[in-house]
Amino acid sequence: MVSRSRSLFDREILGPAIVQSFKKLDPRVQLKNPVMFICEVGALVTLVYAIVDGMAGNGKVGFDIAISIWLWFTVVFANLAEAVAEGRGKAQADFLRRTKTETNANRIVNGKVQVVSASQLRKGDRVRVAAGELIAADGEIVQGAATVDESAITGESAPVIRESGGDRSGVTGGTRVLSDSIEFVVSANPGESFLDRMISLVEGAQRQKTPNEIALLILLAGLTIVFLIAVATLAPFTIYA
Amino acid sequence: MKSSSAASAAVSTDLGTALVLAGVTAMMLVPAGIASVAKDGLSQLGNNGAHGFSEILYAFTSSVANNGSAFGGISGNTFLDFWTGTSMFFGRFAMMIPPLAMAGMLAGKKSVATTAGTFTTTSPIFIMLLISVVVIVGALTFFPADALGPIVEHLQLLQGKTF
Repeated sequence: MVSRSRSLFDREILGPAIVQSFKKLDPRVQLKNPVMFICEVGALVTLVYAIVDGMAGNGKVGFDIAISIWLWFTVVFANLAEAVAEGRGKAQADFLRRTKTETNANRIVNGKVQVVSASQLRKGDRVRVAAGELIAADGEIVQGAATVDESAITGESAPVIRESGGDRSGVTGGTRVLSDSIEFVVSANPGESFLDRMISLVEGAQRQKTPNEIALLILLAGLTIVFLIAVATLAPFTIYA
Repeated sequence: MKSSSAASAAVSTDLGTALVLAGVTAMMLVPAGIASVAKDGLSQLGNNGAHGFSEILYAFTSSVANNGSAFGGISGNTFLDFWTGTSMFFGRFAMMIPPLAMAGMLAGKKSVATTAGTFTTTSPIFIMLLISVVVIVGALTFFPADALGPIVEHLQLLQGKTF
């Protein structure tokens, strides 16, 4: 499981991200981030001003358009950054999912070896893995010992020894046996494995905001309110001036 | 447990800070805005132009954040008394609630021994950050209003116009 490093502006990610950044202009999406929602409302209001001033043919239209472009650019660029991050997460998740479905396993049923896809393995199945093969599922070694490359999961570059009995008998789906062969009993059904949890983490389906993010959001929302007041009160001030 | 309580502290202190910032701004600028267009507010100004606006702005700034003093050029009536009084009430008392709540919350926490990783309030970086935040937030909030009053007035003074 070698994960390919991607450049920041990979075409596969950037293309859909650009489309996404315009789709995310939907106010219902923007409402999740109040600061950007205000920015979008401002962009919309200035656009209306630009159109009205443009139809009236007065000299303010250039200024209106300039402000409107800046605001729209800000909103779209923020969306783009978010979409690129999501795209990278999705590409990573697709990669992980491919390793899961494309891995074959040698299931042992009554002493005979059957080659099945990793997704067909169930809890309690007995699987044999030889040197050079990927371990198809999470499990507990019941026979043999092997060196396992767990770098895909733990980042540890040196192989680790896994053997039956004792503390070091667990194996994780997606890791590779480097030498010798082992037999293990599958301990997780499809959808419950470590790899599945990693995929769902990367995809961010269950991602919740961290307390620090919430704190920052509150502070930024507060500052936004302050600046809205500062700008809105300029209207009566300039009427006086 | 420790990280979650530290995180909730961040949320509460940020909420408190945001409330105070927004509250002070609202109590200072909104009534000043009302007074600068209302007939009853304008009738009390001794001067027109930029100096007149400075009179309004100073009256409300001082009501919220200082001793409630005003320029000699502005006189009082029921309208101005009501609005400066309201500003003063909220600026003095309502604005004390969030800091007191934050202080109460922080007082209930266990104190942690000072280590090399502690961000001390006497370090130059903390002082610099604090000054920057005060100046930047203050400038962004009040500079637009100041530009119409005191700053114009200063430029007029340089031109030889006095009030």
